[in-house]
Amino acid sequence: MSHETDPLFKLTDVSYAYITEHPVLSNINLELYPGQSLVILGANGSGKSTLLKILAGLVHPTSGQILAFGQALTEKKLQNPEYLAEFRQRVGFIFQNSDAQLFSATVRDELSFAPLQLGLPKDLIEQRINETAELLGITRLLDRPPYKLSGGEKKKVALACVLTANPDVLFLDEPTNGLDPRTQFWLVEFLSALKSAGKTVITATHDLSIVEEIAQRVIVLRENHTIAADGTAYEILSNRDLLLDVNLIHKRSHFHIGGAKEHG
Amino acid sequence: MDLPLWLQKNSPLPTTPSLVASPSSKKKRSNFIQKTLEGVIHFVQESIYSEEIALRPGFLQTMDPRLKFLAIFLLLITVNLLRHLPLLWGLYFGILILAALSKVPSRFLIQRVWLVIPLFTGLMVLPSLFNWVRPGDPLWLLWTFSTPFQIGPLHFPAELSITRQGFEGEVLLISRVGISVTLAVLLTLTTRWNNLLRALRTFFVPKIFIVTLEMTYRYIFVLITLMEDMFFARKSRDAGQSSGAEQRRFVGSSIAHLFGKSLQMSEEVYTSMAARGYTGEIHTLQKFQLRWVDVFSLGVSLMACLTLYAADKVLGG
Repeated sequence: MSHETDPLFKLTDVSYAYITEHPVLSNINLELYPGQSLVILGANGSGKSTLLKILAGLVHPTSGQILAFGQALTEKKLQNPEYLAEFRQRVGFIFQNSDAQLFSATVRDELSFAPLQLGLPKDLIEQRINETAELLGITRLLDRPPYKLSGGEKKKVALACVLTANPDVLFLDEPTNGLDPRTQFWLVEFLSALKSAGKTVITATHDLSIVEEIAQRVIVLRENHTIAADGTAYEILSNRDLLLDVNLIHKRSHFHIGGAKEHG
Repeated sequence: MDLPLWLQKNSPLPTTPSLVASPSSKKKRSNFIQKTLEGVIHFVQESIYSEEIALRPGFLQTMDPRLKFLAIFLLLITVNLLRHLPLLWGLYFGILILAALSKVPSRFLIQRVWLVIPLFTGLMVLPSLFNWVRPGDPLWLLWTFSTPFQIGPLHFPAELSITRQGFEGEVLLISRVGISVTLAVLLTLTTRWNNLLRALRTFFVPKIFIVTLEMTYRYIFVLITLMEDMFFARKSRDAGQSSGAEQRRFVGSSIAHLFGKSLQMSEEVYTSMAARGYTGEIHTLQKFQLRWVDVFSLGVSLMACLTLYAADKVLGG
């Protein structure tokens, strides 16, 4: 693969362990390019979520280097207020557990949190909140407390509260978990729209049915926490042996590429 | 799907690195939430670490939890009856040997107890050091006032001093508390939590109490994970502009959220238990196996207790 631009993220020999004896990621080498839509595939416990958190500067690798936007991303560096502000503006994270993500009293507060953090003018924030709510169809929820919403509504609010900061890079951790098929379909379309607008969308999932729709590039994590494969969505999904090997599918399951579209 | 124009704009690409930290802004942010949470998470990880010690093949680990509990309980009573420091510290030395036999790192055990206990116990009994609170033979004269004081019905002598009795009392109390805590830590470190609770049950601690403790222990991990997620979610949108007041509000609302969540979870857990036939009785498969070496150890512990107590009496005081 040849790329004209420098990578947005570059990981060199990154390892991570919560407890020394149990590594969660081992020697990850990876380059991510702007505007790319990437899916990180892996079975439960392969380290997908941790990899996302490392990329987003939420946890810091036990060993190895990470370059983000051409700069070394370290804990110390993130203590610098200007660097932190710019990094957080560029990077948005949608968590698997929307309940954990939504901590404000109302949806409106939730949507205003990130732009207020960035110090944007009040009227601009108002405008962004209204337009984002309109776009995601959550305007009627704006003054309700987040914890009273349904699963699908919570996911939309979680997405909206990240979008109001207009990040360049979006990290999504298992975004389709617990969503009904209609909302799942909506989410996939929405992610495509973001991608067309030049956003870099990085999704960790084990939901094979959405991979083809949202990914140009797919990396597969093995259960020993290393990268098993790196390729286009078609290359990865058509490699049944690989998917079997990393325990993403069962030997009697009938997954085949294009399955999601066939009946639509 | 039409995105608003502002959402379609992207920051310049990294060919012109804009994320250059300017050297002028070297001030560090002190983030109290981050520090507190890191502390909590570290503590929980240490609990896992403790379970790790309980799984090592050591002397105390292989002992029957019921007899171990009984033996340590006997030692605890003895520690709090002894009045002679050499006897107390002799016993402590014995405990350290026991810990070494059980593959508990002595440094860890000593640090865990003696870094905190003297501070808190010492603070509590600090007033009794002085002759104004507890009269006695002066050891160090601190200050002499011109006349004795009287505040209401209280009389204070003109000299303020630390008394010998007060000092000895303080050292004795700190030693007792520290050694007692060491015993308790040793028991919890070398016994798996579930076994410890089951051992308690044989000593007629009500079942409902034990079941509650058991579930608390288990769900602390679940709630800590939720808390960590909430913290990460906030961190990911925190550009360093939050005031102390905002951080406190976040902590407040997190506590409320966690409280609500744990209430909801306890209901779910209860219904799931009820659905599997729970009627207030917990039955387990595991049976404790009593071995002769356990009975022997309990005997040794009992003998040690009686000997120490007798020695303390003989030494008088």
